[in-house]
Amino acid sequence: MYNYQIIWLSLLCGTLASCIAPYEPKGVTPTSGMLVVEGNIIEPYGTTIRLSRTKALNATDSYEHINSALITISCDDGTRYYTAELKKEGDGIVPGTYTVNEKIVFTRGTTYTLNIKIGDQQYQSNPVTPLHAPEIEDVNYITRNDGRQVDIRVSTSDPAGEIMYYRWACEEDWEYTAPEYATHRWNPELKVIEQLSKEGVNTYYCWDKGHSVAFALGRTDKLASATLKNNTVLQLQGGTTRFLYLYSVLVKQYAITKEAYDYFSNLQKNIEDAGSVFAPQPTELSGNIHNMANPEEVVIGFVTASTETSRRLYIPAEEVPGMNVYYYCEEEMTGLSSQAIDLYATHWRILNRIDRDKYIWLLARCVECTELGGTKDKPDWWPNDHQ
Amino acid sequence: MNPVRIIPIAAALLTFAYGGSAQKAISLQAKNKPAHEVFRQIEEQSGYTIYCIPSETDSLLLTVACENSTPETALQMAFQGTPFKISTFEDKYLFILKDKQITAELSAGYLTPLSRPGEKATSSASQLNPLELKATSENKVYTIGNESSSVVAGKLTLSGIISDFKTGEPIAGAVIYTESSLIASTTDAFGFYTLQLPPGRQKLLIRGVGLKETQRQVMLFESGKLDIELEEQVYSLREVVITSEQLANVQSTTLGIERLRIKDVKNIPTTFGEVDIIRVIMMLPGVKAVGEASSGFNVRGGSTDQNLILFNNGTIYNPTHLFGFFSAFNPDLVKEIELYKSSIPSRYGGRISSVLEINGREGNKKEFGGSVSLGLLTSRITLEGPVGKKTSFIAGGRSTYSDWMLNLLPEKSGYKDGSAGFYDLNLIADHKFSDKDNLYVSGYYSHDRFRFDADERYGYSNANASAKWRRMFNQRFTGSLTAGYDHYDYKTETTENPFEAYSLTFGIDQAFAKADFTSYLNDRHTLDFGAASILYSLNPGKYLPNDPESLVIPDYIQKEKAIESSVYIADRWNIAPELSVEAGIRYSMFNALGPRTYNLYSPNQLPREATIIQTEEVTASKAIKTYHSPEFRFSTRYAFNNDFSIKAGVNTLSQFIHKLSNTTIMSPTDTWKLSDVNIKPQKGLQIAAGVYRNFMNNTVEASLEGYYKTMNNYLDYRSGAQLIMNHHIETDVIRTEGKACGVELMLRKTQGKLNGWFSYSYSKTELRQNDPRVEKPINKGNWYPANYDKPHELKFAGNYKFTQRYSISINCEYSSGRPITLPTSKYEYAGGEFVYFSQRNQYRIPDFFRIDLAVNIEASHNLKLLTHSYFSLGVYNLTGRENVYSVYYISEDGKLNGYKMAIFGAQIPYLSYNIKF
Repeated sequence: MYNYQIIWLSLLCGTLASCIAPYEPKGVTPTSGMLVVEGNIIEPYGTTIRLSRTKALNATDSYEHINSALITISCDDGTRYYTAELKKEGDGIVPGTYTVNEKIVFTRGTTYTLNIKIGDQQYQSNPVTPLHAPEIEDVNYITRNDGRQVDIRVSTSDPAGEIMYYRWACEEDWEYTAPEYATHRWNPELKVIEQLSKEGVNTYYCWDKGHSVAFALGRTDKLASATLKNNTVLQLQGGTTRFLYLYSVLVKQYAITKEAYDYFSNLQKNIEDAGSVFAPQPTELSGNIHNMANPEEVVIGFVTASTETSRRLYIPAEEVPGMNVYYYCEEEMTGLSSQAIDLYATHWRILNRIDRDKYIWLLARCVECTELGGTKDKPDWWPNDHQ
Repeated sequence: MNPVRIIPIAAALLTFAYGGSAQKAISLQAKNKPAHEVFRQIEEQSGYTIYCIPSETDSLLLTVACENSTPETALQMAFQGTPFKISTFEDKYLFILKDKQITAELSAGYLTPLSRPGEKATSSASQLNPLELKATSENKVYTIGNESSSVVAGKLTLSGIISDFKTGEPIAGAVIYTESSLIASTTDAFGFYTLQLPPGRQKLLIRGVGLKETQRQVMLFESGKLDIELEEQVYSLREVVITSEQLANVQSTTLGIERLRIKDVKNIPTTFGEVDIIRVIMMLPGVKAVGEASSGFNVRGGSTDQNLILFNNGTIYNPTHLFGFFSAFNPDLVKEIELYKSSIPSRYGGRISSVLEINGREGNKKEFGGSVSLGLLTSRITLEGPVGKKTSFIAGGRSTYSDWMLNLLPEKSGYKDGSAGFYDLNLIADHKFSDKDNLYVSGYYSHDRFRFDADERYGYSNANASAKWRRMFNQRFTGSLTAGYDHYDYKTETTENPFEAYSLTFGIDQAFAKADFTSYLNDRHTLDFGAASILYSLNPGKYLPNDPESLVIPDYIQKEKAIESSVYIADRWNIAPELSVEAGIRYSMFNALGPRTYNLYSPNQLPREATIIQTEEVTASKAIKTYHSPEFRFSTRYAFNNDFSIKAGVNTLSQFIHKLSNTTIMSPTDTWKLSDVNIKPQKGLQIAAGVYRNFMNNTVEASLEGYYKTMNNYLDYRSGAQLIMNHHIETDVIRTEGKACGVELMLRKTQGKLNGWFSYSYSKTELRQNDPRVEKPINKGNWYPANYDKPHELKFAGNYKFTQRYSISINCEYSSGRPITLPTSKYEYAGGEFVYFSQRNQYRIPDFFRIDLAVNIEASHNLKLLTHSYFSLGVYNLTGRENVYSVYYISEDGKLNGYKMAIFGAQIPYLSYNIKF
């Protein structure tokens, strides 16, 4: 509601004057350098710990990531012990990101503790009891605002009533097409015009991916038989390539404790509700990680432990026509192959051949799908044979 | 027969009179003294009364030197060489007129009684029919009692009702006093006054907000009754902003009281042209609001729930409409507003910061009438009139059509589904059973609804009904019995996802009864005493499925019941004319009642679910917890003379009902909580002192008041507190203490073409979490500024009248920016960017400045016209300054961006049209 209200008020004012303007408060004493630990212990795979530090609000440099930490996860019965290693990707590392490569198997009745050593500082989380995430019963979607918004929704329940708080993460993949299908292409390396085909080499089909930022949280403590039905986990607006051909989202579900829920929802409130007319005072909740030698040190983050369940949803573009984007591609050129180098250099691309050596050229974004942000990297599980 | 003596003097000459009593020869030395000062000295020494036309003599400086001369000679000397002529009459009156000499010879007929209808003169009070006889004339001497009765030494009691000549409505807050001595009385809400006077000839002067200054003359032989009818100022535009009585400011014993008449409020420019009582209240010194869109207000550092808001005796829990843009009172049904900031009379209790009393009008007792007002956002209609001879009513309704504003929103916004609306209805009736018994009945209902999108809907209502029976037992003893019922509720509901659709309701019901008595013991002592009781019944929350398919589990928080009772007695004691004291004690008791189930917590630990040591269940309807304590109300005044006094006072107060809200302002979804085993009552203490001085013949009032205030057991919230549907709220709150201090300077001009006020206040309000059981208190347990702590505030409200038809009003306000909590650090988490807040309220938004302008036009003054219309057009926020309401960061696509929000970031023009018939 709060968020709506800001918008509502600003629109109300907008009819009279602009009321909301970008602003950087002056005279704020910045603080920085607090340790931020993002840690989710996940069974069986996927445990990821990210270490970084806070920076001053007005700082524009990139975040400081900690790459030299020693991270272990210990089980309170002493039977198991996992090490998290810096995550490698290609030749390099993902800064500040540590993963457990071993398979984790939770034993009932035990707790897990995250231990982090940075230099001579030792940090530890409170012991965390792993939770078992129920299966996702359904993932569906609904269109809103006359089809200009798509909400991805999840249904789940825990009839045993043990799990009442959830966190979801969404992995999005989508296939889209260039506005126009090009039959030919100027190859700038070989300096020849090549033929393209939908079944073979083409510049028509592309894939892009995204992931949900921030949190999708849910609770069933006030709902019958701990059932969540059609709970929105992701809201998508038009204006992107998501719904040009085929969209897919993998919803991953984790069970969390009430404390974790309160912590995460407070983080969210602090940036979503702040400033509105009825906004509550922002507050900081303590996380569950502390410096062993100095309990006063502020450490941001809440370590959770849960199994992961997931479910995938596909949405073909024709089902959500309102989310389609219109690309302006009326402008065209007619050019001979001898003009190709020049045309190519000025961002023109071939659409098709109209005569022996005569081609229709369009702007690159109209025929080359990679111009719209995606790549030709097709996920290996993608359910069609497009190239 | 003993006729009422009539002194016939042309009314035009009576615009101003300086009074006195019997002496003759005078000695005077004055050099370039203002004329009125010279007149005053002559009157004092001679006992003559001098009449003049102030506009002719006000600016004159006179020089005179005389020894043992007659007043006439002295004045002739003073006016030598000027066109002014001096006339005497009956060796008691002097007239000063430009180029005119009046012949003070009376035709014989003047001395025989003139019978005007309704002024049948009789000789004895007992023979007067007070229903018919009302003193309307300034020039007539009304005889009270029988001349032949032996004049007793000592004091006689004169009492009566002061009412409006045109509508018959009683006039509250008028001061009636004798000029020669410091005997004064203020009329109560029913226009009733009592004076203790020496026998003999008395001139009573009557002053009041928006009243034409007037006088009545009496010859007192015995104690008796004199009802007085007053003419209000003919042109309502004349006095725009007058608060409190001119003399009461200096003469009353109370501190920190503000009184406004509704017509003074009506000229003050407001947003969208809506006459708004609470916005005007916010223009007074010592009253603050967090921002422009909040009708909740803070008085001298108190929080928004510490104000007792009474509308015709009913308690209003949410005084706002349309998320705080408007206040919930229809201005056409309001007569006057009294705000007690410091000395809270003993008859009030239950809130620790202030009392805002809004008194409704009584219907016109003489003829039917009404008014219609058309504004940009709302319209209202009022009807009033007599029903038979003894009853009158006034009814009003107001409704909004604000949805059009939402319809202006662009189609793309997605918020076209939003809507908002409100209405309120009032009915006030009064019936006069006899001269001694009056009954007043009042009903009020207001309803608000709004939604920002198609999904979530909000609504809230206030409802009040009360009846008051007032009896004048005798001249010295009056009393009233009041009983009523107050209700407030709100409801939130969602419908979009049928499986999660819920409705949430909250409600307060309270039934109250109270008896108040005033006894005028003698000229030294006036006793006020009484008792009151409130029975509370609270529905703290009901959470229900709002769709047949909904999975929401119905959840009910157990009802809370309590009874709050009090008795009080207060003495207004005039120790000497200069020194008076008002001392009162109020004993209040609060019983939280069963049936209820509640937790007991380990006493040395903060209440948490983990520290529950026992759960008690009380099934019977009996007291489960009792709090009781005395409250002291004391104030004293020392008057050096009629124009200059000093005052001091101490008040202690308790509050048993707490608002649960962690927003900075009043929000429509705030809930309230009664004190119980785990929630202690709030306690307040205020010490105040001030200096009061009237200048320029009482037309300019100045006051300087300072105060120091403490508050205890004020509720603040733990991080992440859940305030709605919490079955044990004590585990989410923290007791906080507060202190406030400040100085308020007020300058007010009440008459003339230019009138209005200017105020400056400096104040400081700080809070602290001092509970040693709290592990991480806010700001490490140090004092931190409250949300509404705005140290410097300058406010100006003024009206300048060009002619009787045109006037302009200007409001101007400057204040320091309010404190806000800003993030100091940011970080990445879960793929998004988040902020880290350090200390609460350590930063301030930019200073606030706004100026508003209104032009008021009365279309016609012809009294014979059937309808009278009145236009008001104006501009709110004339300079278009974007006053920052809040500063915040929001995450957009995972990136943080800082914004500032202004609620009114441009000039807002308005026009309103009012018709009276």
